[in-house]
Amino acid sequence: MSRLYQVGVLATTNIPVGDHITRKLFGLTINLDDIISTLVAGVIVLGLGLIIRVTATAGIPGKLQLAWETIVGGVGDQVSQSMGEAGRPIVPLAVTLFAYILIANWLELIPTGHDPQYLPAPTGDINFTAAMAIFVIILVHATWIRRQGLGKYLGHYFKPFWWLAPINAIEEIVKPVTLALRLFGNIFSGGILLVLIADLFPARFVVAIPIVDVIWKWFDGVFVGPIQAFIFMLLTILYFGSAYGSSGH
Amino acid sequence: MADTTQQAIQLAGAMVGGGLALGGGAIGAAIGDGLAGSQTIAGVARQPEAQGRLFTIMFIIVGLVEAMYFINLVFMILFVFVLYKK
Repeated sequence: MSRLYQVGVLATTNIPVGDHITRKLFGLTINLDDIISTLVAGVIVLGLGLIIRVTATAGIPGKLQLAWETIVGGVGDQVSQSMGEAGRPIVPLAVTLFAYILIANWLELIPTGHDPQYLPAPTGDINFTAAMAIFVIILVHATWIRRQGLGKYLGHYFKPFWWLAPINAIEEIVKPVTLALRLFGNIFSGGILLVLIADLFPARFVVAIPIVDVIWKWFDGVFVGPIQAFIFMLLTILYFGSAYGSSGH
Repeated sequence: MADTTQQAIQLAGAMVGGGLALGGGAIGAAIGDGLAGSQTIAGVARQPEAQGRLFTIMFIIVGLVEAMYFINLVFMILFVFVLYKK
């Protein structure tokens, strides 16, 4: 048998796709390692925020203060550009989403263990991304109804032409689906590629595995992680923009 | 006999479906990224000082286009690893 065939059979039967350390709680199965990573990422973001609250100075800013100022300033510019000045209340939500998803994506780069990792990226689990997408979409629709009234909210489905109503309804349903699947697919495939790298080198090339690992983790951490966090935040801002009404543009 | 034939057909169907999903997704994502990149190059050639803003928009478009590919990837995983059961 050629090595390639062996590798092919190995790849389809032995790669643990979506393996998690699970526990049972009230009859439901929860992914314990993802919940622990979620809490770790949350603690990190909260810790950085509390540190900056204590050490923010009006003098020469330190590096952490510069980073936070860049993020908040950039997000504020993005919000004013898309929603006008009425969108100020959205800035804290957008900054939180960006920082939290960024730290969560960066947890993938820490090598902590064996086949299901001890600290996987929580955004590589569809439960986490689906929960965030549902949370954001419910918030958008609730803000829409609260700011524009139920009549205008129902009326927007018929807006360009009345016979486009089913297509508008499908678009509103598809928005959280693509929001969740986009983030999940990007980060999950990064994790799968790490497993593939470890699996596909023959025994005598075992030295190449950490090198290729580091190269892929560099690409994942510098490009995929921040870009996907930015796109999640940007789409949230745009959906809130349409919820606030297209008056300020 | 019929059982292994049925398993073989299921495996073949799952693999071909996954391959088609990945192939179509890769072609679409590559063409989309290429279009975005070409318009960015044309814009920078016309007005070099707009390079920063054009790069930002290009990365946004690349992120959205790659999302289609990754949704295809999710469906490939669904076909090959979940729907095909031994």
